[in-house]
Amino acid sequence: MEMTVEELPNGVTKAALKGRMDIEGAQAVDVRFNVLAGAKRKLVVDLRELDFIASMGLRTLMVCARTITSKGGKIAFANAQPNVLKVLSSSGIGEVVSVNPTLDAAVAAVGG
Amino acid sequence: MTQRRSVEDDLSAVRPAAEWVEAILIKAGASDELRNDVQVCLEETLANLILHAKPLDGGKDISLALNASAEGATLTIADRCAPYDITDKARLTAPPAPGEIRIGGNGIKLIRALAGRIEYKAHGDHNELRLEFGADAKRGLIRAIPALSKVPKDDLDTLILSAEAVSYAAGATLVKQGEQSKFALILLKGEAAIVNESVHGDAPLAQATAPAMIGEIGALSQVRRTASVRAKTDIEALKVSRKALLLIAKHEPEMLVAVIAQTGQQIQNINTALGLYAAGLSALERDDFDPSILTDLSNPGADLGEFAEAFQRLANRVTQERRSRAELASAALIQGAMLPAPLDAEKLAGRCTAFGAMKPARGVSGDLFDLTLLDDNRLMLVVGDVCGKGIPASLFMSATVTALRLAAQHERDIAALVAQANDALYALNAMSMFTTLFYGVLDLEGGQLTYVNCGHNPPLHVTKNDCVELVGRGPPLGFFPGHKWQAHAVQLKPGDGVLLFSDGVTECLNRATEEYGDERLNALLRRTRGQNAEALVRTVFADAEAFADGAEQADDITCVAAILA
Repeated sequence: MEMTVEELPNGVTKAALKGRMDIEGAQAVDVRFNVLAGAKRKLVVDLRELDFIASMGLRTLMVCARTITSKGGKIAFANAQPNVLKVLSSSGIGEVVSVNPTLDAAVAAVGG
Repeated sequence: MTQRRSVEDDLSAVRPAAEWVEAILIKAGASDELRNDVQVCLEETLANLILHAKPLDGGKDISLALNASAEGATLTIADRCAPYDITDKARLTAPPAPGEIRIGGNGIKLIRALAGRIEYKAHGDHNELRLEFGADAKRGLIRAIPALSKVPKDDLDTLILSAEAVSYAAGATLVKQGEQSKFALILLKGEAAIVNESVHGDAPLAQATAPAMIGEIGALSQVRRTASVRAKTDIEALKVSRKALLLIAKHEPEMLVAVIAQTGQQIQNINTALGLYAAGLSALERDDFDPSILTDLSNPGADLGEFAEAFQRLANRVTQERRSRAELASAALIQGAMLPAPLDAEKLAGRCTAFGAMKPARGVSGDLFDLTLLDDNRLMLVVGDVCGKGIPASLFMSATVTALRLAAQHERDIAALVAQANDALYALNAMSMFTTLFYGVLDLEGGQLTYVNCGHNPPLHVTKNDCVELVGRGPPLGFFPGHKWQAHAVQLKPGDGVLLFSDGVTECLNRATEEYGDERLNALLRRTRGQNAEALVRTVFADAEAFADGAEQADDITCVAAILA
């Protein structure tokens, strides 16, 4: 599980995930997500290279989303693969976090 | 071939288990989606067991069994923990409030969403969760349908391959009533409502919850759809052609036996319903219909939906009508009490004959008449007609009769008497009703008839050679306060008669909507001279009825006659 963080214009932060966000994968990025959530107000999570996610991974993303939105910030997902998209929509998370087909759309969604 | 493996009670054992599953699925040629679904469910189940389950004694003994093909997979997870049935509906948490970001509770939701079929068994010393995916789930679901439970695996696979996978959004129509029946539907996921479409809207007949087969009787018998099927939730289903159904039937007669059993059950239901209707009808006839019968009849089966509704409307109408008729009947009874008692022939002492009768168009009348000896020599003759018909008219009629009788107790002068009654009626008359009235008093010794006519059609004076109207008419009663009417008088000779009548007689209509008319009445009276009063009144009634020739009586008919000896 890899995670790359990059600053984009207009105060937007992009976090790109790569690999399997299963129980171990989620544990590997949990702390870094907590730090991001505490520090950033506009976060885009790029899921292009995320191969797998289950509820433990969703949990990490949701804790992050709740922290950011509770202080008035915004978070959006981008580029989810079909399998990941299926899990996102099955869990109903798409109803509270903006899920976008492209990175540009996700950046726009957080107000970048 | 089923492959097995045990899993340590530690989160670090989840990933190796996932890799084991992945390897087997790849080797079997499973699709990306199938592999992902199995692995998500595996992780959720294992995480649940490792983090939350309580071992019964000793270790949790978690073990996996996987059977995979290119089209489907079956994953069985066994454990020796306290039972935890994830198929229990109560395990589902309520949906989050709008905007609420909920962290946990996604595991079971994901398993339910991604596994095609879930089966949980607690065996006492161990539990088994069986998760079926792809074609395995379809087979499992189809086998859970009684009619298809014994279809061999090869036929089942042929059926699944030949069937069209369809999905419907909640609210969509799966089958339309009246259409040709070309296919059956096997519901794999979701709930549908079977309804009968009628002009009065949908009548619910039954509910089908996956796994279930619907429309197979229609597809096999090729009758048109007898009901519509609507999706209550999102639905996944297989559309099975008649041909595919027949193919299964050929190899598996049990399927046909099951369908016939189901058809027989439906016929039985319809017969039961018809029996209830027959009982309901005869109860209606006997007038002891219990409306609670309708509850028993509310869900009679596809073919009887519309009939059931029609029957309910009929039954309600019959009982309502009967109720209002009973009310009318009691009103008619009260009104009957307002009519005069028959005259005492002894008191008339052969000086004249007199008779009055009334035939209401409905249960109660707006006409009135009175025929009473005021004293030894004076015979009161009254006919009136309240505007309108039915209950309101009859109430005003009763008030008029009462007012006249009260006034008559103290007042001998008939013009003054009528004026008093008029003022009393006016004071009570909130509904702006009025009465036409002819009030006459016949002196039996002298043969003089004094009368006041308040807007009533003129009575006829029948003499030896003629038949003439009694002249002099004022406004009707109850409308003009303080009005003074003028009394008139006419001298009757022995053998002369007078006929008072309401316009129901002369305005009586036949089927061709022609009026009976003044001329006809006049001619009848000339023709039938010499009859006594009762015979005369009955002749007029009979002639009007013969003229109507079965046409419905539109207005109340009233006649009063007096004929001097």
